[in-house]
Amino acid sequence: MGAFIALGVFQGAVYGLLAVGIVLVYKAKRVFNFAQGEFGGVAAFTAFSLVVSLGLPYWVGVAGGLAAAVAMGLTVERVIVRPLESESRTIMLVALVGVALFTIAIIVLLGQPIPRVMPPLVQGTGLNLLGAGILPQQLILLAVLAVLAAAMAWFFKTDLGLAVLASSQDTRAAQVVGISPVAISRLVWGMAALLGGIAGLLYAPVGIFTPGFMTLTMLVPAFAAAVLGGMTSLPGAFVGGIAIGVVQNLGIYLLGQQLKVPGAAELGVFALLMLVLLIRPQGLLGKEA
Amino acid sequence: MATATMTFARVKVQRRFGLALRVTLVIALLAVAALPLVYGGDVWAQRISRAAIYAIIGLSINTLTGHAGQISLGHQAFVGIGAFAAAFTASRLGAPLGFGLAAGAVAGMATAAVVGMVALRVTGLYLALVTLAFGLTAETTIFNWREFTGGGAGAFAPRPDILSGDRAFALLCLGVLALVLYADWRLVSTKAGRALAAVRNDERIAATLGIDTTGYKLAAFSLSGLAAGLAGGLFAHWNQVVQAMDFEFQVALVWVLMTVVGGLRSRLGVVLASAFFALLPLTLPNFLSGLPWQPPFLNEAVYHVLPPFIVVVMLLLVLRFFPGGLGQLLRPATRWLTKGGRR
Amino acid sequence: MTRKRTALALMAAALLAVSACGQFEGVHEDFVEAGGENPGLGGASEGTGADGTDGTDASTEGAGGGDGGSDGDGGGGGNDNGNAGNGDTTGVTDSTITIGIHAPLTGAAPLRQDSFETGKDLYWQYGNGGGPVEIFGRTVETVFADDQYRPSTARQVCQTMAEEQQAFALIGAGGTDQIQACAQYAASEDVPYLSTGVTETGMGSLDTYFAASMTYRQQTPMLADYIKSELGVTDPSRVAAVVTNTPNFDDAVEGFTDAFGDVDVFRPDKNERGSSAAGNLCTGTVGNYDAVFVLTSPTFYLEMAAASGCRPQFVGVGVSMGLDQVASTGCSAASSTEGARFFNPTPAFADAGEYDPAFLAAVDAAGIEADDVTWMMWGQSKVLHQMLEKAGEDLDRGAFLDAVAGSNFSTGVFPDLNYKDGPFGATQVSVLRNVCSGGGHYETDHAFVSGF
Repeated sequence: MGAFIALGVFQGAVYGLLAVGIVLVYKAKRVFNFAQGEFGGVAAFTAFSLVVSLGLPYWVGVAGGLAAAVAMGLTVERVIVRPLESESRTIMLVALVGVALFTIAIIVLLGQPIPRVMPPLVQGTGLNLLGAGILPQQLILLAVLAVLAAAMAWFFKTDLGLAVLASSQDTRAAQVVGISPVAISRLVWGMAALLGGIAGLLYAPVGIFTPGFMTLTMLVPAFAAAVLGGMTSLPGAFVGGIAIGVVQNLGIYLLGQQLKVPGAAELGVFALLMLVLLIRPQGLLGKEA
Repeated sequence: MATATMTFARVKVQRRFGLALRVTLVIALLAVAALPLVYGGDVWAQRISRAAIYAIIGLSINTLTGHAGQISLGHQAFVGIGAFAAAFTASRLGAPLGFGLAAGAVAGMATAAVVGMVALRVTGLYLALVTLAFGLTAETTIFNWREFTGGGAGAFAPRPDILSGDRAFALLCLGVLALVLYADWRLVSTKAGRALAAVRNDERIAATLGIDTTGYKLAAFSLSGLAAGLAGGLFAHWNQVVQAMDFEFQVALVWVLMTVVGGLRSRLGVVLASAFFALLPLTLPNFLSGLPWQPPFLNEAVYHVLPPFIVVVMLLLVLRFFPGGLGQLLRPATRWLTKGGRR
Repeated sequence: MTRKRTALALMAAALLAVSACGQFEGVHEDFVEAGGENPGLGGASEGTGADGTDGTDASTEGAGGGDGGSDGDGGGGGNDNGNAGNGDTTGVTDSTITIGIHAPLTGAAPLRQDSFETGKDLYWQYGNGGGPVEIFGRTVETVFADDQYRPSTARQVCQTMAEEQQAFALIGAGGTDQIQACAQYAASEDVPYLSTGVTETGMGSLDTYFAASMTYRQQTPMLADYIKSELGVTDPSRVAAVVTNTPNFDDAVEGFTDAFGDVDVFRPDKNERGSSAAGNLCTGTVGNYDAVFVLTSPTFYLEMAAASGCRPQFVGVGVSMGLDQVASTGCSAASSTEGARFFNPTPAFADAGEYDPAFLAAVDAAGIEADDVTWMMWGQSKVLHQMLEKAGEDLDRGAFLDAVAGSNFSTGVFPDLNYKDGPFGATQVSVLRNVCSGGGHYETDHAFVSGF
């Protein structure tokens, strides 16, 4: 039981990291970014090919991965998001789902759908926490999440961050005072992609990874984490991520292993999501629904 | 006076001629479409069944997303529950196929109604999230419930003797598709359709007009679930075995994509796009590897992972350049066919 | 509102009408007789067999119909289906025989596409001392399809290969549920079907099916002995089994627990994904056992093994587990699969030259980079080659089935086969050990043994 709680916290850190990116985009653009996970996927696969296939130093892989993620973010912004700005939010959502599937398809085409192993940032055996083995990589992940969530919360207090918020609330008015919506849009998507890239790079070395690993297994819990945190709150994304991770793993332990209920992890996430949406739609730390 | 009559008569003749031409054209198109069924053997019959099943699923999503404006990213839950209900009825209870399909449809409808009740409280993007999470949960929880679904081996759904031939089964699928098309047409052309349109455009205004928005949304969900469950029942009997992995969450996403590519609220577009999405993965790899010239950098194995790539490219192109989907592209042709140039 | 109700009523009425005309005759009885395990199996095969082939086969039958009968030498085996020379020459021309292969290229147990691409034809094109194999003047061509690790897709691609691409016989390269689904289709259409040994559930009665290696039901008691005598773990409470939750693995679990006693069994679901499920199972629970018997998808196994602080002794059966790709992935995850042992149809690829020098010669002749998928396909092709030889010059499906039933085959790559008592003709396995030094791969611990 203790082991599962510990595992949950660190699993939840990944959800939190994705959720921070999701919240950023939602706060600035009122869009559910379904492509958030695949920013991480692209970063992980780019880094893998640089580090493992080409044998370049690790930092080159990290830089290359993040660059690839940001490039993808900016491309998505230019090719998909901006032209569809005037369309309904449903259409935008479907388009971003398309982006995620497109990216997975590309990765499968170029790199075969086989499992891979990314070397971790720091080698070494893990420490034992409540009976669960935790890798150094996972400790880094949790720390990075805390730093990033705080940094993003601070960002929205800076002039630039306020400009992003202003632009999201009234594009025309913001434009009048000299805030370019195009520049803001680029900034937001670039930052979201960077966050996604970091999430992918940090998570890929934990266990093995396959094409679509960030979208197919991580994205829904990450969205649940964002909703739980209030959708617009960055500390909320942090708290929500860890809460979802713990609930999921308690589900695996209590429902799955004790009661033999199939799909306990997904069931736990879904139940929590429903609970939040029906009882407290503004989430734990959100101000609005 | 005489000239007027003459002109009138000529217009009438022309219109009759136009009508005859259009009817002939439609029949010719249908005949061309039926060719593979007649000459393609069992494999093509199976493909046509799949196309028809996908078309029903597309229309089901169209009912919900196109007509009522509610998004569902968890449609595989409704289709899957229908499929397993039908398989259960057929293999464990040994009931005739019709009962299985009915059970599938009812199960799909009930599930969708439950999700719909949640949808009444959750709107917009949050609904997308709820349906997505629900679909995922259905796949991993309900569809993995071994006593009901057969676990990893899947549930078997044997066909009755009369439908054991693949061609007969394809005819059944086409028949059900025709039924669903008819229901969709009736739905749109009645008061219900106009009410749904009002709900879709602006719920608040619709409510002030005295439209029971709650009821209509719930009805849209139920109807969509009914069609999805029916499609699921057919899907179960299609290969006579279904497994939870047939209803992975990517599948639901692809179904939404195909409906959007077809064009929301365009019956013809949705049916064509669905059929295309259904057939592409079944035919493209063999078609490409059968070509006399093979591009140097591709091989047979790559062809197997091409279809998902192609469908997403199609979606992105559609959204970017003609958001109305195939339906929008085909509109001039369909308008001429149905109205003969009259506006 | 009334219109909407009319529409609903119409739908309902239509549904009832459909129910009314749906028919069933004997479908239910058939599968009940077949035994509750695989509902609908008998019904499905008989139902489709009745009129499924007639239309498509008529054209091809004309020529071969007369002369097929002479060849069936009976053999009197367990699965003699009385098909001797049934005149079904689908996939056979004067100069070629077409074979269809299905395997997962996507999904949870993906084989490498490129090695599959090169592997499937290697034997047929270079297996005859560097030249193409000829069977009574016919060369062999292959078609293959991705079954996506889904039973329904497997059935559908098998139908396409057998009917549209005119494959004479089908081969299943791996994936139990998919092999079962395809085997049932093959039996319903009288298409010969060869696969590596997997489950016995619902397979023993299929009269066109042959397992080219030991089934899991046959292997697991041996595995239990192996754990006791070779690994020295005799206490059942120190042993766990992690077996995918499919009825098709129930016989494997039963065989294992019958032989070993009361071990803890975990049954993860086939579509369980994400390293959290597998990793947490290992870290939180399974890692505490001494020996862990795994029978899951390779991806699930690797996710378990890659989890931190989880290093039990992994052992298992299963075709795809023995692939070097699995060993190398596991080894690059902090050598987590070091020392894992798996029962495999063939000896390790690293020792291929020792067991069949012709393989390396063929690889040289073809100028390809071989791996163990190639090696596995080589072995299976070799088995099929001997079967086709036995079927004689006037090849048709009936003659093939009758020739194989009750016969012996020996390839030196796959286990020796004897189909005297039915389709599960193998009694030998090879044991592979995962070695991480020099790039993760498997080495042969035991080759073609029948017990421990």
